[in-house]
Amino acid sequence: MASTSSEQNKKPNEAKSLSLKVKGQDEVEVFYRAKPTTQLSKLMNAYSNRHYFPVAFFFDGHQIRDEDTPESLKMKDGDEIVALIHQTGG
Amino acid sequence: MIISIRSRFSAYFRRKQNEFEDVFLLQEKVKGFWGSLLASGGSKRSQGSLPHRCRSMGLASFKGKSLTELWFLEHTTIHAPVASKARPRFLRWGCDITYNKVEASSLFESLEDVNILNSFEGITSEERAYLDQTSTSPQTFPNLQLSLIKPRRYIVSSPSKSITPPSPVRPPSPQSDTQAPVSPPRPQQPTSPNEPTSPKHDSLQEGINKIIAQNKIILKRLVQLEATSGLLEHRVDVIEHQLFDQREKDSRFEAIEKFVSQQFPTFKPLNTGYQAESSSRTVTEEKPIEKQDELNDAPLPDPLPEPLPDQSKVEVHQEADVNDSTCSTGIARRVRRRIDRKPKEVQSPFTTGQYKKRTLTKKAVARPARTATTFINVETVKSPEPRPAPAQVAYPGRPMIDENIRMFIVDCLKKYTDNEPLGTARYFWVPLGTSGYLWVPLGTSGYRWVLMVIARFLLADNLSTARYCLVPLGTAFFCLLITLGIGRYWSVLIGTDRYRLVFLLVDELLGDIIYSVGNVHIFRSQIDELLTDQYLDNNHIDAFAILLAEKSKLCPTLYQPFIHVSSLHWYVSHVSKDSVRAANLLLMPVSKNEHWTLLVADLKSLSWTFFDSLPNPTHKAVLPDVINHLHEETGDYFESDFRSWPLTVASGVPTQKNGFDCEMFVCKYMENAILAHPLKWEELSHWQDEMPKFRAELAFALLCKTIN
Repeated sequence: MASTSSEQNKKPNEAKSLSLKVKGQDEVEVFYRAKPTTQLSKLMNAYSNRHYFPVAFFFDGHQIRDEDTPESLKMKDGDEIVALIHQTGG
Repeated sequence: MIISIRSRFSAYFRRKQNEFEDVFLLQEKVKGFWGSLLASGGSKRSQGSLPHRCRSMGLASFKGKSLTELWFLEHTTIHAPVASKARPRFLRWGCDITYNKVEASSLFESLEDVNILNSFEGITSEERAYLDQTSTSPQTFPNLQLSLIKPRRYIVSSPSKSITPPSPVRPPSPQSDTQAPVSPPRPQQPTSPNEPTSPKHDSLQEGINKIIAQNKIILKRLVQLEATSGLLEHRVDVIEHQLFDQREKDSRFEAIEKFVSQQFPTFKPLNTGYQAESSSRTVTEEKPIEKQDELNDAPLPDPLPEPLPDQSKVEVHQEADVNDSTCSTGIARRVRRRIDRKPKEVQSPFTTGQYKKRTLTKKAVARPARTATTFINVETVKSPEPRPAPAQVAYPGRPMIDENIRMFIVDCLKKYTDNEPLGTARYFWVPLGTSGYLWVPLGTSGYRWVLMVIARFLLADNLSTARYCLVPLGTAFFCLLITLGIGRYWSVLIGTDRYRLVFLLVDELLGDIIYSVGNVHIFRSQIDELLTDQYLDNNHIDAFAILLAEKSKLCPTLYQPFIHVSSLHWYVSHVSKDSVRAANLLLMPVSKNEHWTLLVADLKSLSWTFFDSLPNPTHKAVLPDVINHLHEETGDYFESDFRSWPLTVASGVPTQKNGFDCEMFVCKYMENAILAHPLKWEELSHWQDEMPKFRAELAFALLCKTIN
């Protein structure tokens, strides 16, 4: 996570980069910056590496897939992504 | 997923027979089919009305597409089902079935005869025309006397049996009414309008007439099948006889060879003896052709004896394939392969010489006379034109199957058959789409897990359309699921349960996502989880709820409208004022600490019910949080504050006896709870035993979604 954020902080002056908010089930919010053409798998990997459990990401009621980009999902600056924990049980 | 059970056996044979390269394989299939049908018909068990039997070997096709042909063939002589409930359920999916009768406790039995009989109406018009034609004009069907010579019991007994079934006991299914006009052409309408009989009587009469008309079709078909099957059985017998002789000879040769090689280490085997024998064989085979030269005027009986050696050849050739690894010496291998030399020998000038021809004419008279008695009829029935002898079956393209995969399958089969669940011998045929089929004999007597993959369907041409095949086996729930397609087979999965034998040969084309609706994605690995008794996750349960919703839409009278709230409670966008008003139930699976429970809100009686398959009061602890969260999101849509509704824990529900089935229990709770007339929980205590079946059913349903 740290690497990705620093990597993206290198180009803060790019007007196109979006700031995305990832909200967990515990209401904790994490902010990411991503270019519209960046695959969101990068963001999701960064988030789930931090949390150590499988997470499903939803945006606007739809689950985000690996190949999606902010552009393809028509995300705007400051949009909120919801991160939900995959539940298993037996 | 609507599967209509169609029995188009005879038409199927007739249509396919030209596509079958190997006559032997067809015969094996026919034999298996008739073995099962006749055995179940002749068995002393009184079970098994005619539709029951037809159903048990149901030939199903998916709606609209005939891509997938399901075929289930089995020895029923040896096998008696452990429980009729354990029949695979996909025969029932989409049918109008009511669970809510005591009589329906055996779920498979709850398939009404009406369903089956209606399915006969699904035959195409050309099939029907063919049926009518064959029944009215027996001269087109010269072997009809065979069926008359040995009439089977069920032909006599079936009409009386199947007239009774239209059971008024269960609620009339809507299908029976709607499909009545589609019923087969009735002979006449005997109820004249000016008759002063009561309308009740009329409808009764009409119903009886309808059933009789339907039974006529079945009878016609049975007679027809009788005829073909009798002949094919003859054929198979002869082939088996030949094969037996061949094997004996082989073993004798091997013994001699071993003895000689032991006695004389320098012994080099010569083929002369064998060649002499094979050449003499070819001469006898060629006789009809020669005779044909001489007797040009006579009607030709020649195509008939010819296919016979081909079949034996094919058969023995396959045997050789199987046994090749076991015979170590070169001689034995050559002995086994000498059959292959036959076609070459046929073309040798020696056999076509004048001298031979003259000397053999005498024998030639005797030989065809022997074979003609058994085979002439067969050929005329089977195909109008003689099949060209496949001299050498060449398999271009890739080899039959990757040897690693094949060995893996064989190992898995061995593992299963050694573990006794397949103790009774059985085999089944898997016809795959156009021209491929797979023959898998299972069991301990004789066969001992032989898996033969016939090369035909693995040729790249025939794999241009990916297709599946799923085969249920009798005793419990076995299914064989095969995905075919271009490319490699990605994974082979075999379920670990003793009640289940599942192959998943998942094709590359299928991709990783097996099932995808909205936010619910079932990946291939999740199917694996489902079939290998692992923990399940919210995707499974959501997918099940989606399937349930689809199913309840099919027959809205049987189910209560419900709202499913996924365990990802953040998304309740489908809950609105209208949907709440329209629904009776609100289903909320709850997952806490790796345990699934179900919370059901009865929107009419304003109460909560909590289902727990592992009864423990601590599982209730999370419920206030869940309800509060739901209230935050959707509280406005409800007329009263559901936080104050009373909550009861359902008592008497079936519970799990292991540590991994709770989600399937939740699914089944949901399925029963949404019924308009739910079954009593006390009657469902067998659920734990059937969990593997339920899991396999869910996997099947998910996979079928991708088929359609």
